[in-house]
Formats: sequence, structure tokens, C-alpha cells
Amino acid sequence: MKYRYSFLLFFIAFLLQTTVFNHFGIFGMSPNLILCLVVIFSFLYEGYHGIIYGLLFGLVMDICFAQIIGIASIGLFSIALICSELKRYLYKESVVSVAIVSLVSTTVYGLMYWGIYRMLGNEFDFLYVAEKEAILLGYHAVATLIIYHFVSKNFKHRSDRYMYRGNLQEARSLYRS
Amino acid sequence: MNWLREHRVLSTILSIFFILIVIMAISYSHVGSSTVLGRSVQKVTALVQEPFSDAGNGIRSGLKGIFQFRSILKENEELKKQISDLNRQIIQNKLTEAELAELRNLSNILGYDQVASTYDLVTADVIAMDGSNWFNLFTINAGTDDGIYRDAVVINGDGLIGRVLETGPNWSKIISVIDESNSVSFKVFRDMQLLGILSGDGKGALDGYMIDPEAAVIEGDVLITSGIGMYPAGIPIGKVKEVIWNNDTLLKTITIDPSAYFKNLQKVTVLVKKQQD
Repeated sequence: MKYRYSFLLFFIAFLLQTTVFNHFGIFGMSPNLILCLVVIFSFLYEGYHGIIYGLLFGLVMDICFAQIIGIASIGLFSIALICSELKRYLYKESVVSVAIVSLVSTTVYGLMYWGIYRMLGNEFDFLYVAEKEAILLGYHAVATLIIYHFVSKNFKHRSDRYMYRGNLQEARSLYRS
Repeated sequence: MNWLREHRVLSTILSIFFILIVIMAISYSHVGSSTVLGRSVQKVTALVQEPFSDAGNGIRSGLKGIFQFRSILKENEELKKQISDLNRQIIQNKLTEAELAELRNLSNILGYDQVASTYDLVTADVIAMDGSNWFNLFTINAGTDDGIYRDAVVINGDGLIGRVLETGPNWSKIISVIDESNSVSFKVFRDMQLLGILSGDGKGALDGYMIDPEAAVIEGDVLITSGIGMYPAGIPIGKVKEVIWNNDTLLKTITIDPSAYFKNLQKVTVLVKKQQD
């Protein structure tokens, strides 16, 4: 997938998350689409889509909304690294794997966010955060699977080393010869 | 250097982490003051977010209208009946001159006159909200061009919302009172002698304590700002949800249900101090 397409997807997700999705939140919460995209791009695709755009949009989110800049970007960057590592051990084509990665990422991101804010003196109650995270786990699993279906149908993600990357006709003639 | 060359990926990752931690540390020591780059990013995103936010509002209202058509019709009928009842009641309950004077006096104590005479009201739309689900920070489409400055107080029809954390020409970043670590001084509406201090409780609500441990505050009491500190007097904050005597601190602590619903704000008003001529 080309970087400009993934950038566009991240940008649209950022706009939707900060404007439209807030109006349709359930229990006053809406899914973190940027996190879902970081998970999908880091887990399914080769290259650095998840890492670069996770870092970039994390910074933009921090600049636009956070009191302290850097926390979301550190969280998203770490998640991108974890997902890139997880793709070595999990079967990428399976929906179950995507759901597992989404659950792990949401939990780790939530814990990191809470831990950093706690270290910086914010008095977030752990049980309150855990309650929110429990709802978010469900949201993110559903959102990630929906995005996964959309992205995997429209953009090829297989990293098959034997896949021919040149012209199709050329490939056929090579195959016949 | 050889080690760095041999472990290029690891050293890049560690460098990024290091840079982010430095940014975080600088930002922590200068909360609410972005760099030129940060302000430019905010300005551009505010411009793009505004039409999206309007579209979101439109879709929401449309869907609400479609799905709640029957209930809205029913509600409309009930409201019409209520209006006619209230009109009858208004005629019956004409205030006497003494009662009116008393109410005016009360309004002065609450500071409504003060707010009207010393503050300009700038109404703005909420164009983007923090998507992290953790905080209630949001961006509005008014800024320094409209006279808004840092720490200006933000309210809506329900009561106190928060204050301006940061502002640019066409945008302002607002931090809600429930995310505030700064304290807000309040008084009880039922008995203005009862004063206390509150702040965000880290659970999406507010908690605080009464300055007088024997203050007769009860569940359901309405709290308003006292006028001490940055918030002008008379702005509703919320209702007392629970009153607990804390044996450790020997203080009467209270939990408060905020009067404003922070998750679905559409319009807010910023109180801007009038220029002294």
C-alpha cells in the first residue's frame, strides 16, 4: 500500500474521531480510530505505515487536545512496535488474530496512558479507567474488524515473498514459458 | 558509533522515544503554551474540523428526528399542555413588589448583574472533542480575534464548563472543570454562608470539601461558584450527590454531580472581561 493512501485513511479517521464520532458515542464513549488503524497497518502491512502515522497523528492529537504533548504519540508508537512484533507469531489472515491484537493493543495503550498520566501527577482512578477500558475493548474489537474488512478488500496486504510484483501479462508469459 | 551502526533499528527506536520524552517533559513544564508549529497545526485542523463538526451535528439532528419522530410528537403535545398550564400559573402567581425586590437582591448576591456588566459574552461552537475518551477537552471556533484569552471562563446553559487552556486566532482549547486539577471555590445556593472547595475526582465527576466541617450541606443542594479565584460568582456547578464525614482529615467531603453534560457539548459561552475605558 502506498504511503499517501494510508495517510489519507489516517487523516479521515482523525477528522471523524474528533468531530462526527463524538456525537454518536455509546455510554459517552467512541472508538479511537487512530489506534485501530495503527493496529491494522502495523499488523497486516509490511513497511512503516503504522509506526510513522501513529507517531505523527499521535502528536497531532496531543497538540490539538492534550494538556501534555507526547503521551498519545508515545502510546501509539509503542503499539505500532508491539503489533509489528506480534505479526511474527500470529497468522495474519485470521480474523481471530486481528481481534486478539486489537484487544492486547487497547489494554496496553490504556495502561500506558494511565501510567504516564499517573506519573505526571494526574489522579485518575484505576477502577474508573478499567471500566472505560472494558467498554473500549469491545468497541475497538468491532471497529478494528470492520476496518480490517474494508482495508483488506481494497488494499492487498499479503506479504507473500513469492508474489510477482511486475506486470500481469509479463507474469503470465513467464509462467507459460 | 559502531554499536549504533550495527543496531540501526534499535537506536532509531530509542532515539524517537528519547525525543518524545523530551517533548513531554518540556510540555509538562509549560502546560497550555504551544510552539509556533503547534499553533499552526491547531489553526489548520480547526479550519478542517469545523465543516465536519457541522455535518456531524446535522446528521445527528436528522437521525434523531427520524428515529424519535413519535416520541417528539408526544413530547410536543405534552409541552403544549405544560405551556398553557404555566401561562395560567404565571397569571395566578404575580410577584408582589416586595418579593420582586427580594429576588433582585438575590440576583445581585449571585453576581448575575456583575457578570453582565463586567463581562462580554462570546458564544462559540464546539468543533472538535478529544477522542481519547479520557478527558473532556475540546476545541471551539473562537479565539483571540474574538477577544478570548487564556484562563477565560467557559459556561453553557446548564452551568460551569471550564476555562480556556490555550487560544489562537480562530480556535481555543477548553479544559473542562472535571479534568481540572486546580480547585474551584463554591457556595451552597440554599445557604450562601456555606463555602467549600472542589476539583475533578479522577472519575469523571467532581468532589470537594466544606470549609466549615459543621456546615449543614445535604444531598441535592445546588452549588454555585463563590467568586473567589478566577470564576465569577453565581455560575451553577452541580448538585451534591453524597456527603461523607472524613475521619482522617476531619472534613465534610462531598461528591458532586456536574450540572453540565460534557460528552455532548455543541455550543458554549466564553466570559470575556470588558476593557476598562
